[in-house]
Amino acid sequence: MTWAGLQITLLTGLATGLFLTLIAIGLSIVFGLQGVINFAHGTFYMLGAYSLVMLQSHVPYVGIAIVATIIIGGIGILFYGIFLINLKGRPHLDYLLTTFGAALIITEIVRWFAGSAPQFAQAPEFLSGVVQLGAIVFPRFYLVMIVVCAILMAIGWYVFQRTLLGARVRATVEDGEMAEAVGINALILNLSIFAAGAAVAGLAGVLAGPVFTIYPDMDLDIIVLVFAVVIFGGLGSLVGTLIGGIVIGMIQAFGTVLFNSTVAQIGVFILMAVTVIIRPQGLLGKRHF
Amino acid sequence: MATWLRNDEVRDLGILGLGFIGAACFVEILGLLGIDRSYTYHIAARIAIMALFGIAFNIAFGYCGILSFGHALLYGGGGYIVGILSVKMGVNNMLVTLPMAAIGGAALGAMLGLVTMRNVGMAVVLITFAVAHSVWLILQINPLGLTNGEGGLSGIGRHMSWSGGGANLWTTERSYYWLCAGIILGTCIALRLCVASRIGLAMRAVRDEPTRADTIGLNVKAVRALAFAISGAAAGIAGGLGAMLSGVVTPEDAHWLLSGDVLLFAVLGGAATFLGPALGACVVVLAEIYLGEITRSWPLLLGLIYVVVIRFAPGGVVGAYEDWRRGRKRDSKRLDTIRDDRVQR
Repeated sequence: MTWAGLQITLLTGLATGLFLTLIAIGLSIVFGLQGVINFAHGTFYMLGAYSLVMLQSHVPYVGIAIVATIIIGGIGILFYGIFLINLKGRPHLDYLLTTFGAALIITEIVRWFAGSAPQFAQAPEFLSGVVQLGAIVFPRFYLVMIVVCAILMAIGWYVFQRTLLGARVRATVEDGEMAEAVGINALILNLSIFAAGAAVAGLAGVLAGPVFTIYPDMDLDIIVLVFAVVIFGGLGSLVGTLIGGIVIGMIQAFGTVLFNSTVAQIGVFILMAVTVIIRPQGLLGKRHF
Repeated sequence: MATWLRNDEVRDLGILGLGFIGAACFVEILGLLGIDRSYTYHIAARIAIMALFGIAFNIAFGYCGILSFGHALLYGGGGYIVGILSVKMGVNNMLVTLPMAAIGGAALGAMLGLVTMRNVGMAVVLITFAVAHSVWLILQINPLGLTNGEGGLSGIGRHMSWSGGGANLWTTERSYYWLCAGIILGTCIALRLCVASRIGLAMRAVRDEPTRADTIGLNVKAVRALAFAISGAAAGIAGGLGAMLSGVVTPEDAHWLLSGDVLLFAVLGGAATFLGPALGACVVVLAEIYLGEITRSWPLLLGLIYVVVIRFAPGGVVGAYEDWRRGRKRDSKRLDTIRDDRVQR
């Protein structure tokens, strides 16, 4: 591998990793808060990508991004109210199965409206093309992805560590019963964090639209990778999720360049298995199981 | 060992046998009404095979409290063993290939058991999923040229003779259905005796009170690995029978969606009983074939089944029926991975 090739692969890995982190963060925090293993989290990502397909001829890209984020946040609230609110106190398995069923239902509804055929979305004019970075050329859109993900991550970190909402979330992750005892409204907190996670995953879908093929089962394909990210980094940990995302993004990028994408995925899942065997809580997570 | 068959064992196996006979009668009646018998027998055989897979899964899940999300690996492993022996090596005799599938399934199950030895609960779900998904990906890239990649192996025969010649009795769907019924009933007798024996007692002890089981001298890890291996052997047989039924085995036979299906069989039917998963398999496979034809959106119905069953009948159909019969409320004490704490003999 040449020096330029190495640089390109590193940047691709970083873009993939930050992008996976963006989807994974909602999943991770929601698990930390209430023990919900949300199989349908990839569905919000898929909805984001499809909103790009549906709206791209009518609305400018940035507009779609804003609208989709808000709408998918609302869908997240609905989702929580319909599927999860009644399962309070049930074992993890019940959440896993219910959200899996919910993912199948939503995917099928999307299939009714948009059809099964793979679709493609265009990157907007000002984001397409390539950039000259020293000796290498790199797609402009990947750079935008890196920047947007980094900004969102910084906002997430600020909210988490420096605001009252973040303090409440951290308290609930640490000890849910105690947090409720001191007057934190668990329902409103859970609902808002769930909606925020869904909205961010939807935004990731809008970002991914121009890069990947869009098809109804894309949620199941991404969710297994996202699971690998949060399992490796540690469920409920923000920094762990970031590390997990970047490590897995790098494995994807280098595995694809050196071998092929299937070998890269095998590497990801073997890493996931080894992580859980040796350290079930993940790199930086708290022990949940 | 006082009596080797107690009442409830006779009852379970009797229901299973009557189920096979009843299904065959139903198929014949449909045949008299002009519906193609070979197609309906094919479906009946598929249901029977999925029922065996469900029962096999429940040996680990319901009886030993191991929630595996990689059981499709064991089913697909059995199928691929039969397929490779038949297509690549020319060994068509099912007296050889089926036992090999059982051994292979047991070995794969024991491997999953060893890999998950140090973990419990959701960690086991994640590890088994990751291992099975890796194997599924490896099947796609076709190492050693044995598995033919995405297309899978086709042209798997159903023979049962040492010489290779002579009339082949098992090519018709009706005869193959009865063969499947016999093999499945035999396997279920073995499994039923197994869960009623001291091994089964040890499994339930490990499920309900792992710490106490350890204290009284049971080797908890070994019991878990054994449950995995027994479950894997039966799942391997189911996979082998399935491969011979359709004549093809593809990577989809080892995909994690199948692991999800078999979990649904157990949850829908009721994991606290021996036959619950078989009932769940009947309902799901029939619904998939017939409702799927009517509505053309089977995944939507499947999703609804998941959501509704977990919400309203977490003990499954059989569990809900027994609750109703005993007039008990649903909120009995439950373990993390188990639907119900009803210990069953």
